[in-house]
Amino acid sequence: MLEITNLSASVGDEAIIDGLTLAVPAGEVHAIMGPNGSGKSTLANVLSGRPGYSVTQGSIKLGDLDLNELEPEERAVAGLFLAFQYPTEIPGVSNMEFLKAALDAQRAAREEEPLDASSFMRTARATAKELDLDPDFLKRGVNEGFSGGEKKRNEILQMLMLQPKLAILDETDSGLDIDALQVVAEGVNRFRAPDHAILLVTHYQRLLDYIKPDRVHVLAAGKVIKSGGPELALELEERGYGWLTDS
Amino acid sequence: MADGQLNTAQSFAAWLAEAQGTAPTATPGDALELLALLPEPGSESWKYSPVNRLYEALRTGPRTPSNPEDCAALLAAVDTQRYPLAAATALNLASVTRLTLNHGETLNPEAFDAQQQGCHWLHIEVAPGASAELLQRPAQATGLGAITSITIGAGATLIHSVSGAPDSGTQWQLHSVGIEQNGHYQRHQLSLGGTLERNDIHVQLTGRNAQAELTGSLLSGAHDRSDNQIVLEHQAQDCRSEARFHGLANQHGKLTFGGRIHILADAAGTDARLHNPNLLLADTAEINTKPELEIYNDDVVCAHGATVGQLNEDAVFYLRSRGIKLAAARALLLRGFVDDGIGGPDQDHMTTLINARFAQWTL
Repeated sequence: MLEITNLSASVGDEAIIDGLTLAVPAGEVHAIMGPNGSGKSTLANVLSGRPGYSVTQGSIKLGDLDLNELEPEERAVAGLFLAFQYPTEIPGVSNMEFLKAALDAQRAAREEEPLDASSFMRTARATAKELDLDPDFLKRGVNEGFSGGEKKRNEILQMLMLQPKLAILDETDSGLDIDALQVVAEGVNRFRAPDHAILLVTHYQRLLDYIKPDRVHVLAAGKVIKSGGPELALELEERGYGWLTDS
Repeated sequence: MADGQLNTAQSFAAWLAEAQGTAPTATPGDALELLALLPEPGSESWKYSPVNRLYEALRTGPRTPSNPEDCAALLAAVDTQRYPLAAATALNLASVTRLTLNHGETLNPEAFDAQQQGCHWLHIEVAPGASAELLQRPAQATGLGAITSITIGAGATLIHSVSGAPDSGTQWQLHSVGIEQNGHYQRHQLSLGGTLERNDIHVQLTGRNAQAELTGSLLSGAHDRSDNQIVLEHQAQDCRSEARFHGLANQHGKLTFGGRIHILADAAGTDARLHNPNLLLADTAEINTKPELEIYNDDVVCAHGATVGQLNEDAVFYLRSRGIKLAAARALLLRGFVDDGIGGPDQDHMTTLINARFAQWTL
């Protein structure tokens, strides 16, 4: 589903990603772990096409599509979703209005009929409920005055509504208490499907107690220095990153 | 430059003197004395808008001598020291409407708005204890000088919605609102700019525990000028005022905002807040904003702030990352910003006006 080949990328003049290769097949959950500054969040932003992040070499493919050539909104339409580490507050635009605009835009770009308003509302309310969010939450400004946990649950709500092919979760566990973490993890697990792929970017192993990854990759200095099964995350939890990076 | 400006000011003064001279004998002498107070071009309150153009428009506009009683009543109803242009309006009233609003009444004075060019005066008394609504939505420019004076009686509430005409031409508007004890004024405003649109708003909290809440969105595009000067005058104890005006300038539009909180010596226990965030959408547009405090009592809570910025690029990216195209994302954010400033009973009408305006803009 996602194939990253020999990717290098920089933020401004600073090279952060340095020859990274990674493949996430459909139906799998992969975790990207690594110390602070290893390039995890940069990778997530590069994949989503954030302005200011430029690819200097290599390719990113989602299915048959070369993402490098696409605008952020085109990547979203192609099925890529990024759950932000720091979701932006947008006063004056209600969550409902925002979700409807996003869903309509994606359906229009795929030449699908717009979802009728009442079934949209029903789905949005039901999904909010599953994530333990008050229905009034949909009427509030996007992320406006939301707690850290509400913001993260709102990202998962959007993911479940938009049903992308590839979901990248950037430090979705940070700032969550254990109850919120479980709710978020349930949402992500519900999203798991043979035609969906998930890339979890996380600093801690904690999230992986709730969302079991198929593969774990350790990122350091902008490249994957080790890959393994779920047991690698446990080993990192026990030993830290030093044994991999001090060499 | 001085010559041209002087000539305009002099011709205006001469015109005013003549207007007063030809008015019936009962015209109060005050009007002429006020000439000395007329703002000079470039003076502080007219720093960003050419008052000369307004003088010229008044002088060469339609001449309709006022009924002397109306003239006297208008001069008594507004603070002519602060707003000497009211004198020019008082001498040249094309229409006068005075009404009392009782409990449960809604006034939508569309009838007054279709009248001929010239100056107009609308005076509203909200009966003590009444809750009423006033919806002003001119379909076209209301004239050169338009004064709305309002007295909110003790314990009364007025919800006041003001939607500007899509092109208000050259005009001066004054809204002068007095709020008596326990009275409540709630204002929602949308202003779309004009060739030269100057809006003065004077809110006087005259009775104890009076409250005023003002929100507005002020737009200026094309080559429009929109100059908005708000004065919140706390005269009595324990009054509360909260004003929030959102400004947006695009293309060659010029937007000016002045917000002044004036707390008099008797106004202990005042809680006054004023906020004016602005978005500047084009290099060729201009925004001037100046929040001011004038406080003569120590027992007050006061806050004011103004910002001028551009669209939040993080927010634009957030929307794009969800599949919304760049132009649509910008439009959605601008809508959010503008919608946050409007509201009230006439919100749907305001939304229609905003949609039409946005359709003319490249976002």
